Amino acid sequence: LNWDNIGALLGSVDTFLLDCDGVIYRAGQSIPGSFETVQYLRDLGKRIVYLTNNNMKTRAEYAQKLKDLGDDHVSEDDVFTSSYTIASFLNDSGFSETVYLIGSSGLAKEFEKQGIKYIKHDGENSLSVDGVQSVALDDNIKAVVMGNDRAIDFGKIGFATRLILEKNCDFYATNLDSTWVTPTCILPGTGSLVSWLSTAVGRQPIVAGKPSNVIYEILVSRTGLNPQRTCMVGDRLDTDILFGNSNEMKSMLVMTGVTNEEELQGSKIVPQFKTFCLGDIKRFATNQ
Amino acid sequence: GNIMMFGLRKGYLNKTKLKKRMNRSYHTAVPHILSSRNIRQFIDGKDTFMFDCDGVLWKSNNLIEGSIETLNYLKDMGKRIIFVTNNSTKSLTKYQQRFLDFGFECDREDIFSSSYATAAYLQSINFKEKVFLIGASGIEEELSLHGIDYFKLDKTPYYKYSDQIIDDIPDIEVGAVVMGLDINLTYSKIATGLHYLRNKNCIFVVSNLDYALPSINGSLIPGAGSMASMLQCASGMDPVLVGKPGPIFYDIITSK
Repeated sequence: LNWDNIGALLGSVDTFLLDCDGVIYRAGQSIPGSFETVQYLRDLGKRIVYLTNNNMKTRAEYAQKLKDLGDDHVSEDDVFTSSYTIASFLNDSGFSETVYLIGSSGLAKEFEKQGIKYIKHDGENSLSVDGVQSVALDDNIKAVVMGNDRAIDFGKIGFATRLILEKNCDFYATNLDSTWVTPTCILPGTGSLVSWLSTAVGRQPIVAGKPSNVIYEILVSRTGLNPQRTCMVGDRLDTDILFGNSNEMKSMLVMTGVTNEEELQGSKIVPQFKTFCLGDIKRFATNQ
Repeated sequence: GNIMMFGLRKGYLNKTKLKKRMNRSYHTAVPHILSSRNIRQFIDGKDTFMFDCDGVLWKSNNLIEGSIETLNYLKDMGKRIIFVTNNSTKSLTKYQQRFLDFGFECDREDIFSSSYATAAYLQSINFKEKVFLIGASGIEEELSLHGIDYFKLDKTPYYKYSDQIIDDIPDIEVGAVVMGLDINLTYSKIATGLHYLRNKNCIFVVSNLDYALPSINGSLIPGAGSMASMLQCASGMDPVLVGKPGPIFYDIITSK
């Protein structure tokens, strides 16, 4: 991206889908220039949608987080978390039974908000190894939904394994990001935790978040976006950029997050545009 | 002499995967059905019988009918009996005791568990550093017996903020992250393993990759392979596989 091609880009895009961690903020602080670009694009009449694979907050909580970080005009309708996405998808498909949920309290809250019945094990009601094998499986549970759970244990995965194999329950995951990268460390991501279950049952889940087309369908139905006039901006090749490229959108990689030059050079997933940070959009457009 | 393996493959339930593997099979032979007509020839032609344990001799704590009788029969005929199990949770001593309790006497030298093989493998590559172990007491005992230095995380608290996990990781030079079945597996243990594996000199070894195990009620529960896959996924590293069907286990058995 540079001041030469920014005009054509802005002229051909109505909706900007923005990943959050590594694009808007990093380590709890907004990345310089990001919200300036957001406001600039809004002033130009562009639609701004925050699209994150985060599954530990409700949509409302995440919108509040963005507000606290510096976007005064963000509304819930502009925010799509993978927790919101999976619950919306189940509702859209007419799901009316009970879900076995493995994830955070934020994921559970989103399910409550969207009126989906769920069972979750934690603390006192967590299952032992013997308990997992002897417990009776509830016939009302028709789906297993898994998000990030730092209190993951054998009881939860074992119970979900039995539900999928014995009761033929549907298997969903919020997202499959293999790692969670912070400036100071790399931690296992939701995708790594999900592999405990997916390898045990020999089956991949239906994925809600980027790069799946589940979130794509939800976005189109909720925002009416035209993919050919939409640009996905993200920091991760195998989620953000793959998502944009697979759905006929423009894609833009920023370098303020997970991906470094080496990874980009070695990758088969090629972003259409590349720039250092989101703030560059306003900078190039206003020729600063 | 000729060696016959008795085994039950677990965890390969996905029919599509199974079909793919069968289509790629390098031998088109079908198994022969044992009967009273061919049993004599079958037994006489073999010197050594290798037995898998879980699902062949017993199911959880229940002996499968006729198993011990067959073992004793073959032993009385002068056959060599070797046990080869991917189970990493028990040491050889415990296995030997288990056989005795069930009514079969054998030497420790005839029992090969993946816990033993893991320790033997590390010894065979002259491993002199420290191991971070995610696994059960079986591997612990075998590592100790083979003189390999290791440590585990026993109690991992629930951390509200993920960064706190990193602060609590012991600042030790780790040469290998070793994984076996750990029914007390936690997020922190995987995060810790991931941290050590980021050092290019740290190797990743797993006792076995059985994705699922038969449970007491006849269905399946997650196995060591499904646990190791978490670290595989997070680190992007494929582990060294000690257990069946890898070649390391075979080498260890035949060399002994």
